[in-house]
Amino acid sequence: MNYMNSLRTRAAIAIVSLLWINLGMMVLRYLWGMEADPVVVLGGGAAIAGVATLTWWRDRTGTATQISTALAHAASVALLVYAFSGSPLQIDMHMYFFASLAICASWVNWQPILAFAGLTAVHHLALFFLIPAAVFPGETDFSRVVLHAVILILEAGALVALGHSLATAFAQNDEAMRETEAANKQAGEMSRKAEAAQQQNLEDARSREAERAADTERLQFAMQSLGRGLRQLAQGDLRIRLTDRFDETLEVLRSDFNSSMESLEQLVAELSRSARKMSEGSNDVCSDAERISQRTEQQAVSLEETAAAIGRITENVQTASKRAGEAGRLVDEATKNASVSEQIVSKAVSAMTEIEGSSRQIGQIITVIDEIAFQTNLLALNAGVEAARAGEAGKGFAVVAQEVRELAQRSAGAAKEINALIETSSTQVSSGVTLVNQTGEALRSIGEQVKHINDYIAKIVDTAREQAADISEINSAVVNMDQTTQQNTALVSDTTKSIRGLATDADGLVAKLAVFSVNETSTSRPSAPAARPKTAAAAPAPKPVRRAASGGGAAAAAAEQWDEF
Amino acid sequence: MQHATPASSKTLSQYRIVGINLAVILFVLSAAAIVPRNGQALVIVAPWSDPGRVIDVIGRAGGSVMNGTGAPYAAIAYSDDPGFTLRLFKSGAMLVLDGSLAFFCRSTSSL
Repeated sequence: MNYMNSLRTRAAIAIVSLLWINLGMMVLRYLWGMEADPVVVLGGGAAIAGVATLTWWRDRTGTATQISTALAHAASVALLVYAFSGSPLQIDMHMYFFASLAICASWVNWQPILAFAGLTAVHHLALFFLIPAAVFPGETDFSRVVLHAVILILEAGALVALGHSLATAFAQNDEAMRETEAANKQAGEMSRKAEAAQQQNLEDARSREAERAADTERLQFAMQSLGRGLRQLAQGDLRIRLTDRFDETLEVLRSDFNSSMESLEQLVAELSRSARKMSEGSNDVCSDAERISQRTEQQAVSLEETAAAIGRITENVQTASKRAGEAGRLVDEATKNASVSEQIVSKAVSAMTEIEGSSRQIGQIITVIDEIAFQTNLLALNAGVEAARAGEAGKGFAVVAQEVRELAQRSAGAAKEINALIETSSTQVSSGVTLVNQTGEALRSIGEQVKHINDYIAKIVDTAREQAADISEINSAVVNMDQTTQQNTALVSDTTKSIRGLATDADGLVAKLAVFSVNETSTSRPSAPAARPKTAAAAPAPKPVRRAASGGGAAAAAAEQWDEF
Repeated sequence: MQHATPASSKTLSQYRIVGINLAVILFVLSAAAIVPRNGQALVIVAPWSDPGRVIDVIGRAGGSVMNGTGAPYAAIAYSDDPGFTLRLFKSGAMLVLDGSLAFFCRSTSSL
């Protein structure tokens, strides 16, 4: 049964009891004296209370009981109001409606509240119109009914809201109670589990204590064994191994120790071998370095000689360059001379042309003279004819005319010879002009070739100059190589000293590593490869050849060159 | 024929219980409303009775007529003596109501 049912059960008793108390109040009113019919008031009151009580008896908290008791209360209060008919207190009895309504709210349900309010409203409205004196004393109006109705509605609404809140609160309370009960059960369960866990913890603690003691014993054994091994390790004995088995959890420690010792032993053995190899190798390197030092000195001398030879080559090249420059200058002059010859040839050509023109003018003059000679001969003939006509008087004149005729003939003959000579001269002048032109062409071609020669000589001069610069650079490079070689010589001597020191240190390392005792098996394994450096040290000369053979043909050739060098 | 489910039968039973209570209440309140108070009663006889029948009944019950109504078989009577209503029924009244309910019969100032 939850809290709500409990509350309603108790409220039901009070509500039903109040019905009978109302009946008692009616009896008192009757005894006091009332206008209302006592049969109706008392009988009706008893009937209403009785039926409601029977309903309650049948179902203590049912919804029908709640509604019925609420209706019974409304009717009971109405009967009380009716019983106070004619009394000025009748209006005050209306307050009992509101009180009873509030009491009915203890059902915590909206249904009885609405039933009470509904019945009261219907009752008042009906009686106000039918028998106002049954509900209100004296004169009254509808406003009073409305006022009572408003108050009734307000109270009913408030009570419904209150009931709803209470119902919600009760529901939450019941839920909380259920949760609390569940939590209590869970807490009890947890408590039992905690006790069991505590018991289990005690047992575990005891077993852990026993395991801890056994672990401590095994740990002590392991620590003693490890201490013994470490003491022997401190004494340099690397052959120690832990043979007694440890506890399973510490067995890893023993195996790690043994493997560490084995690794350390192998490491020291390999270290010894490496130190011996290093010592032998250092001695080999030392002798090689000394030979390299000697060869480097020879290289330096050769470089000095090379530098001197290159210096002489440089001087020769510079001399050749100067001579080529002089040849260039001579060619320049030849070029200038060739251009002057060209001018002379052109002048000669023009002179020859003028000679040809003069010959042509002479030829023309000769032609004029030949014409004059022809006319003179013709005049001499005519004069001879005239002289003949004159007879003996004209004989002298005839002789003169003959003489003139002969002179004219000789002038014509001379003119013909001169004309032939002039033609010959013109032909020769033409051939001379042709020859002079050919000479000019030849001189021009010579000039162009001289120009080409000049260009080539200029290129030769530039090339010689560049060769001189290159040879100067080669010379400076050889000088640098000479200096570097000298520095290398110094470095090689320093390296030789360092290698000697390294050989000494390797010997010391071998002596120090001899402190550790290792098994023969550890040292015997690398003994075969250790023999190889000894043979290498015994015959160091062919060593570079062997290395080169493993490295490739080019390297071998380089090594041979170095040997020859 | 189908049987009602337990839930519906329970609801029906609850309606019945509330109905019984409401019937009793309405009966009592109606009785209170219609039972005469202050000695005034609306006396109604059978409509088919003689016109003076209602006067006769009131007289035999020891009351006096205060006012008449629109109907000849109804009148408003008055008596200070207790048990007036019971005497009216014994005298032959068919229905005795409270005097304030005389408007049902359109009360008049004379018979």
